[in-house]
Amino acid sequence: MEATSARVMTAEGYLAPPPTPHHYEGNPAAHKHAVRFGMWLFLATEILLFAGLFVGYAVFRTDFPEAFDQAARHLSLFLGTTNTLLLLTSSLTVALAHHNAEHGKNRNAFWLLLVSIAMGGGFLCIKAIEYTEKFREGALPGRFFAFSEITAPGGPMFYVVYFFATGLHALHVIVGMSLLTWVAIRCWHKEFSPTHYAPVENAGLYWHLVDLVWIFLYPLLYLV
Amino acid sequence: MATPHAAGTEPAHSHATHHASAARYFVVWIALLTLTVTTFGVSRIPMSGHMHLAAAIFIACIKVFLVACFFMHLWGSEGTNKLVFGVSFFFVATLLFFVLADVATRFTLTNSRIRPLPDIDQSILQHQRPPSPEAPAK
Repeated sequence: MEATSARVMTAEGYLAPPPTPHHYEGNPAAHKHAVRFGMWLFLATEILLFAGLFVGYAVFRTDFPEAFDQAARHLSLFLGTTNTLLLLTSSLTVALAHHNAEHGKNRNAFWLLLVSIAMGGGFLCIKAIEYTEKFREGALPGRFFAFSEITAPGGPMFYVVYFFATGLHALHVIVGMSLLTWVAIRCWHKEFSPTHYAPVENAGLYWHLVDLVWIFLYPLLYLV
Repeated sequence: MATPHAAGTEPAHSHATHHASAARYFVVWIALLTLTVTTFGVSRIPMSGHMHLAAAIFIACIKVFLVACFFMHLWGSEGTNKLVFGVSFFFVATLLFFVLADVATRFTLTNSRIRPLPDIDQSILQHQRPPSPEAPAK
């Protein structure tokens, strides 16, 4: 078994040693497992964070079915669907970046991460266009609601759910883009190798989680 | 593709999927795009609202399964990771089920959001209000 502190030579050059805590010395598989497991535990807390918003959606939709139906029809299907396709495609490029980093192809990983970050930026721009439209219409949460086209009671509650769910999601997109930028810089410095790619993997896992949340938000807000 | 020393340090069951070809990611991506178009199409079919919701959630679950298993490498990952992910979804489903069971079975006497409560004699509350000139106390 190769010592984890040894430097790794790949086709692309000389790579820094992966940082391995001393209690995992000589057992890199256990270290890798622990790092990944920790990330999955964190993702579970993220899932439960979003669960609260999904429960809120379920309760208010049960209370105000007509308002939710009317409000969903006022969201732009085109923009929502475009954003869904953008996020799914960015998940593909992040998965490919992970694949490349794992095989020591840092430059490929760098460009794939850059494309992913750009798609995240595109997602946020489209979200900003949608928010601007909502503010112009007065389609806002709670007592700021002033949207005459929704006649059924409960319109403000739809926009509470809409703004909090998509807002928290957009915050996660921003955090995800920051993480991807951080690993992209490390890719540029050719830091990753077959024995050291956990940062790309974990930043990727975070990005995929952001995608998972949107996979549920898109049909619930825009389609049904 | 993988260097021999990297593969050699891994247990055989763990993480085997990482060494597969990148083509699988494109297959999953095409499947996800197809499912997105499907969920969009299904939502335009005239059906009852409940059917729409059920269909949308069903398709979303398939998409989540694909992303988790292949993009996030849960398929072929350590069992603990599968457990964490599976259990967190189970807990969300449990929370949703019991909250919705509550909301769906509320009736007048249990509904805290109806004001004033219609089945309570309002006269018993009269003495708690400040006297008003228009409606003198009886």
